[in-house]
Amino acid sequence: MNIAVAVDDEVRHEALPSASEAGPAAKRIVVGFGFWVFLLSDIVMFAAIFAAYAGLTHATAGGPSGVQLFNQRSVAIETGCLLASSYSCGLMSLAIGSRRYAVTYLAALITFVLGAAFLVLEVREFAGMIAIGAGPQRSAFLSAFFSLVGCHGLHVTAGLVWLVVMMAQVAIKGFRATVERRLLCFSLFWHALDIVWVWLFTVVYLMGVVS
Amino acid sequence: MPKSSAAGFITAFFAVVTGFALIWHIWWMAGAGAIGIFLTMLAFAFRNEEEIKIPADQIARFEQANQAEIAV
Amino acid sequence: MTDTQYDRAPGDASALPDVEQGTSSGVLVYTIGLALAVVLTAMSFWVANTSLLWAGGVSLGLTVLAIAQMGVHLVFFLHVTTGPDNTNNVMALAFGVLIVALVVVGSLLIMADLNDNMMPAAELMNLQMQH
Repeated sequence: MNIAVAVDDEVRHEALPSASEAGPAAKRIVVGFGFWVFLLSDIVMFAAIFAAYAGLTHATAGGPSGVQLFNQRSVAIETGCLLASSYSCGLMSLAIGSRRYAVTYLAALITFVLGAAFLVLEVREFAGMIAIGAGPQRSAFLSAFFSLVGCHGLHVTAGLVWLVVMMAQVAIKGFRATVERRLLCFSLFWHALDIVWVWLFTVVYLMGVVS
Repeated sequence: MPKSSAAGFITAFFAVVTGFALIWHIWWMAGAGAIGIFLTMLAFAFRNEEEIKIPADQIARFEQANQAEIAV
Repeated sequence: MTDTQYDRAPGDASALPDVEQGTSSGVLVYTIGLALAVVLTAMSFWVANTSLLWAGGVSLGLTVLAIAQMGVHLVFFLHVTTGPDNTNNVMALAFGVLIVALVVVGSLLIMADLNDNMMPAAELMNLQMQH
């Protein structure tokens, strides 16, 4: 990729050398970009499950629909938890950059607690729905709902496990380059999960309640 | 260059165990297999040496020896 | 160093040494992002529940608000901006968005078309009765 700066369709003489001349990119860049591409593939998978849900919103087979099942207060609290956990994850990234152990641990703890709160609320919502007979076997709409929201919940669970392992790595290995790269990947993952949740709560819960 | 590791092979073994157990509803085996995968991943992540460094002149020597064998 | 001039990893806030990003400005970026996201979320919930808006436009409004909030997340939390050192990340994101749009819109189009071309049940009954 030639990064020469062009002014008025002319290439300046002091143009930067092309990226291939400058040599390979640093590991942090390569790792970050590679994980970003993986995250986009994960989002494509979510899009496929999304498309299935969107097509099946009205396939309630005589059972309960979204309007009857969704509790907006719970969703609002879940959204707040995930958003705040994204914020604390960002603060954790800053603390990692400035090599402050105490702040890193504290921010990681807050992120974990908020993520766990989100999961608890979601599991309670699922349990409540199953208890009144609106489980994933009731209708295609409910199967799609449980698949979509459940998949996101599984990702959050995996993220929490990953966070605990990463804090163990920070405790044992310190802020090595490898550990820092993995923490960069974790924060990418966590923010991407929040982005998917924005999409999710808008389409599933808010639009589900509107119609 | 990354160091060689048996983690992939061992993970595949546990994955076979987990898949078999899930198909036949042997829940304890599925759980054990999943835990095995997780522990293998942990062992892989907590390695102290992750790379082997090959010095540039060693690569240069390999390349020159290779060039000498190739007919023009 | 190639990375400081040409590339930045997504999520990397302060890779450029000449741009002095002390911790305080980093916190500011995240705080602004949080504030914007909270505002957009509150607006989404209000739009979904109010009777002040025409019902037909609510879905579109929610979509716009969701896209805006995703943009806020990308820019403020993931630092995926349009600077020259972020081009790779933006290109990858654009490709991802393209595939997502194709999958979702394509699936919905195909299902709607299939739906339209399905024979209604009542007529099927009539066909069976007509020998």
